[in-house]
Amino acid sequence: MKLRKITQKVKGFDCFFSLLVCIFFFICLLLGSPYFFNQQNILSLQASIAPYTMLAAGMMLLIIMGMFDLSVGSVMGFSGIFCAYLLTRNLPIMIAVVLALAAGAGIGALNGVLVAYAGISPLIATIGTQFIFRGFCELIMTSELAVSLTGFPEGFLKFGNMRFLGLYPMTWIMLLIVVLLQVILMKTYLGKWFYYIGGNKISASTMGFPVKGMTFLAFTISGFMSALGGIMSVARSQAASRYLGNGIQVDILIACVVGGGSLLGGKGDVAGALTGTIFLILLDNAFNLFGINSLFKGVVIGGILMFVVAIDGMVAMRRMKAQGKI
Amino acid sequence: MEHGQLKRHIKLSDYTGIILVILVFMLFALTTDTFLSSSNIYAILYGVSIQFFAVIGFTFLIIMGEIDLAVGSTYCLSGIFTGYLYAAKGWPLWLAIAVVLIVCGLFGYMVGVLVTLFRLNSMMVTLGSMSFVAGTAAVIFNSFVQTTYSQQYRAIAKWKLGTVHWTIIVMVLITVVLEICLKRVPAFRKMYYIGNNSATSILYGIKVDRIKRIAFMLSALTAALGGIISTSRISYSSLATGEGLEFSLITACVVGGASLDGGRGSILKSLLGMLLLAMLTNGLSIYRIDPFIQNIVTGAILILAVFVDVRLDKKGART
Repeated sequence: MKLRKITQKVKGFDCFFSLLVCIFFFICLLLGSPYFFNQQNILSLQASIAPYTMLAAGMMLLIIMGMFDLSVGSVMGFSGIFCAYLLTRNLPIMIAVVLALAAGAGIGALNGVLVAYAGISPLIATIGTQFIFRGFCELIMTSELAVSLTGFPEGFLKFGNMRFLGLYPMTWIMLLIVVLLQVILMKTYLGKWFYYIGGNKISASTMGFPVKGMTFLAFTISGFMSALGGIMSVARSQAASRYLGNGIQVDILIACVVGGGSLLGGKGDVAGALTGTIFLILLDNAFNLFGINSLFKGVVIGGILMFVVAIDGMVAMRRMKAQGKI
Repeated sequence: MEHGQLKRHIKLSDYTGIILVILVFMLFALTTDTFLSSSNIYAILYGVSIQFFAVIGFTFLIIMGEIDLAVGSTYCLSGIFTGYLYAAKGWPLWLAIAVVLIVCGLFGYMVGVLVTLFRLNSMMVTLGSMSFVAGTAAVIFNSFVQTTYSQQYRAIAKWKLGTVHWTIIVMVLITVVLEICLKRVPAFRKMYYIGNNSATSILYGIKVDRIKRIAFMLSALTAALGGIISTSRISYSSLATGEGLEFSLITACVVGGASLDGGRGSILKSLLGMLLLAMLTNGLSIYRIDPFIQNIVTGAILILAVFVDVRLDKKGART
């Protein structure tokens, strides 16, 4: 009886499906490959899961509201490169990081203004900013400035490589933020607003929810998180790369949808962003470990996404039919 | 949306595309020596005429408020697949092209079925199909030895009617025919009704799902056709073909005056948008401006065009 209650409660989470898949996948990898659970592999997994999850978490907040942000990859790249630039100009680490985060949040805020106050659709606004800031990344990294972006201070490198209880500091930060956002989503009014607005924007606005303000807030958070992911990535790889975050936005979007989000809005949670990202990274890892040609990755991911979306649509349709809406 | 296409009053926002094209053209024509040379103009037209194939089906979808993000990867796949059948399997060229077009068309139709059957968000579905098709393209690409294709394959894009490449002539013909169809022929007008209000269209007896499926099929088919010609032009297969094409097509359509909500846009407008982007790339490289700044300019123009459009639209709604 009690077990049933618990399972029902767990099933209520939008990330339930992806969590199951992740656990299943994890066990398969554990049994299938002797190299999966060695320290080196786990560390390299963390190094990609932590930054990606940051981006996915920011994106998930937008997806809950029925929007998305295609500029996350460019923001990640731009903030990472900006942070590297500041660090190599001998600024204190804290100030450099804060400025880079502010830059990311600023770009996010720009997206927010374009969408919420200028009335441009999220797709177009964020494609635009994606082009613009990818252009800036390329511009910086192909100029003579790029050569000087090495040799970061000791403390920053430590942030990327130090381990605390077997995990990188960035993984701890990531877990902390995911838990924090999840609690905010589930327990606070602010969190509920995301779902109300995603469920029905017009009635939310009629009921007096600050739809525009929330849109602005969500885009700003997304920019901030992308910047955080970029800084983590730079700290880990100890270099600013021209391709940092290039084309990553599609992967992040897929991670969020696999993690239980729906582009129609009103659905998803930040834990799902984590499990969706873990799933994608594990899939990538599986291709490496089993020596399968990584070219099949795109086929598999695309197939899975189409499958998940179709199932999601089928369930929604059945629900609507039951309610007599069709 | 209700005040969109149905009323026949002149709206400034209908002409943003042509105004921008003329402005940019004048700018480059007056400030550079080489832009206005006939070979340069011809190069721009020829480049656009190949990508233009991909925008045909895509525009139909945009008009109906749907989107197909898989155009870029289909564009890439078709060239590689044709090369595989032709060069590695030794099929006759016409058969290879026919098979590729049929396969891509069927795949597009399947995506359309998926979208219409479960009322799915087409962006989500095509996000998946984009990844799927791009993956398939990569798999095929690595399964045969890459060489420069033989003369026969390369001749497709080079074929000329008189002194003009056939793609340019076809581009002009298709634009004229489809533009008239979209204005006058009821079967095409239906797409605007669907884009304006899908639910009402169903009530009026328009077979929304069927039209959407056909449009998805057309989108994949035309993208595949463009990809084959593009591969024929560069004379070898490359995974970079069509990279980011979906986004530049969206930019072209929207700058030309389409709306992602549906109900607006036309083939001519999409063509104008593509011409604008091509002229920008061309003109900025005459100025020896970094190709990366072109990214920045493209993004800024996209946002600006839509922003102006939204403002004008709001004013129109108020009066």
